[in-house]
Amino acid sequence: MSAAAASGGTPGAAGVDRAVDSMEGTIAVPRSNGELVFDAPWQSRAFGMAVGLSQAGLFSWDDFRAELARAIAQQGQSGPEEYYLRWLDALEAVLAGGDVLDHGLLHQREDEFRDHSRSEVF
Amino acid sequence: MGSNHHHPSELSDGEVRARALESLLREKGILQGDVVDQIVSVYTSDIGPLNGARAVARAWVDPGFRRRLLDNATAALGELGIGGMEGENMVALENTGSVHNVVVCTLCSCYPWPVLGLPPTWYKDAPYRSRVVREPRTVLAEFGTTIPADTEIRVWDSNSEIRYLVVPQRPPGTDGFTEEQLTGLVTRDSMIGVTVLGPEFSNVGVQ
Repeated sequence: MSAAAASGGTPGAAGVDRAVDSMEGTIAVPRSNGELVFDAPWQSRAFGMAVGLSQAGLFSWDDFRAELARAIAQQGQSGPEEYYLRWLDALEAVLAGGDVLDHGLLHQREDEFRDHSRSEVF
Repeated sequence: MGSNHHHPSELSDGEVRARALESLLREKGILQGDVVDQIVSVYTSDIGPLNGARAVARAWVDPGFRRRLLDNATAALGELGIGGMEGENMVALENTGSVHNVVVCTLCSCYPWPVLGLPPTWYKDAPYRSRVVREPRTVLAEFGTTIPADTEIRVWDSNSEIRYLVVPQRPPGTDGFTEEQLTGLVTRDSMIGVTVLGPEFSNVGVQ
């Protein structure tokens, strides 16, 4: 294991952190004065899910970045709200390849949250 | 509302989609525990400038820690649980009345992210990287920072092996401050060395 784990840092975070940092131009993570900007809690959830699942090896950050670039090229983004909607597009896309995520189930679950028949995430 | 009927507010598309996704991933056991919270916390605070600020404030109040930080910053930061440097050595540079330190990476954008978080955009821009070496006083003035003419300005160029942390001078008028209060005064830019902490920061509340 790298020095990161031994020294009590965040093991495995360094690579993804640099990857997050390496996203530039239209796909750059929204920031203000260097700090990440989230306009709503769901945006930080989306951010954390992508970073966590990539660290866990479910997909490579390069693949995620490519999907994010594609989503933003197709639909654009102007600010954190739209940026993190594209981020969700990308996350759903990289998870779709395997048998991790069933999009039918996902849309059903979205409907349940939308019509308030479900309120708890877990 | 005005009625007994429970009428929850509309959720935005983003809220709905993020909740649905997280809830499915949790059901499948792919996401567990508080990993998402931890990552968000790490990115927004733990590896943000707060880590560096904690070290600076400790150095101000604890002469032994200050000495260890200046002798071997990697080890001293480790005492505070700040790590993740991946083999790079941290070097702490103390600002004094006679020397002001400022950090740059002229080749790319080397930055002590476990200590200061994600670098500001300007740090990676070509103008800062080239100009702060040639005309540091002018660049610092553009940050609103005036360094006395008889204070030497030292510019430190980061590289893949060495990352720098500037220990700014403790602001005047903070004698009675607790370590926690002092931590709240230390800004990211002051730890890169492009700003100094003036007495006006004494009015900033503890975060």
